[in-house]
Amino acid sequence: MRSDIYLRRADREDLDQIVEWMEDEDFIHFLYGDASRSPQRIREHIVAMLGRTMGQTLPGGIYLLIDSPSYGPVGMLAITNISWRNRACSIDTYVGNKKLRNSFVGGLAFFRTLEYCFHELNMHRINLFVYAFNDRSWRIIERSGAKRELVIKDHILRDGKFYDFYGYGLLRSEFDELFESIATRMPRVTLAENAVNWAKAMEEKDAKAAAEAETPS
Amino acid sequence: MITCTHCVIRTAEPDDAWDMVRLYSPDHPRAALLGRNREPFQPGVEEMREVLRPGEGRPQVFYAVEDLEGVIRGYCGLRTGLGDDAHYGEAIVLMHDLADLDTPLAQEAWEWVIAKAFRDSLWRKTVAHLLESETAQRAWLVERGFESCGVQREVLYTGGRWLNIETLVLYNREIYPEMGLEHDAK
Repeated sequence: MRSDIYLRRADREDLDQIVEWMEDEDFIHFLYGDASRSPQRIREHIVAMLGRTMGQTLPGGIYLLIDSPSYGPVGMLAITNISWRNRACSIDTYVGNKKLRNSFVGGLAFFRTLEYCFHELNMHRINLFVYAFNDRSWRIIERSGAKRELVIKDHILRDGKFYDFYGYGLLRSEFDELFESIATRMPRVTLAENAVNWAKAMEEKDAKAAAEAETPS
Repeated sequence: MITCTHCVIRTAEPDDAWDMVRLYSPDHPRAALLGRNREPFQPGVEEMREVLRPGEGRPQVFYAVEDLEGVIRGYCGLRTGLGDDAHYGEAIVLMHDLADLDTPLAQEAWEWVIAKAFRDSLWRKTVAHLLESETAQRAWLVERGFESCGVQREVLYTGGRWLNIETLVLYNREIYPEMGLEHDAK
């Protein structure tokens, strides 16, 4: 497993890849979007997003690609509803490459995102909204120390059924605590490197659970 | 124009802009008037006039609530667009003077707005957001059956401190007969 995942600005050359991800039914199911949107409309939307990011010192939204020399493009990150006054934002991470959609890559991408928001953008608070059925995501979120602050019953409609909606909040002090505890326990190991260890443990746990499920009783 | 026993409810017009900007007092921020990124803003009269100008495809959000002497005492309305497919939105009743919340005038505005949400628009629920400083407004909503969904911590920085924001929800009892029974029992 490699920990060379990093964040970068998306370029025009990434457009086809992003359109492919955004057209995927999983993207619409777990995040947002409209299945009826044409590739042309999605492309226009992405170009507008990239355009908004360019050349603005205090943008309201930042859209980044999660990339890796080992894996290639992994997914994308949207930092939205940025309030520079309140030092708060909402984040959505999406692992577009389905082969990499496991706890290691998802977790690592998420930790990179947190580092970027707190240590680069100097945020005070991060909002994370997730649907209850997306348990893989909210488990990763909870591992970071984020608190589940909101539970809205029957809030989101998917495939004709309503699901609960969770709102999480992670404060700078909580992130610092996590960061410090990692530094104490593992000197000279960065948060992202620690995420590799954490991801390994998660994978082992998942593999064990899968093996147990397959074992006939 | 809706004429009730204690008030008149009518669409807010550009000429109401001078009155409406009073709601945006920085001394008493209201969660319902924060921007999408939860930042307060102080519109000028001209800006507000533009917001209130009717336009094609622009939904009417605010309605003025006048007393029978024609004095605007507050505003009410529905804010849609939070989730068209989920059939919910924000029901808003904001009075200039919080003491007016306990008057029949505010109650009539509330009844009108909630009927518009649940009977006309067939919303499944309405949500409300409140800063921790909005204690009177919170008590008023809870009296009307709103239930807390949780508190987001340290969302708004104002007056030299962080404020939490609470989200409350009121379910449409015609769709959710089991919701709010606890409230009725009290």
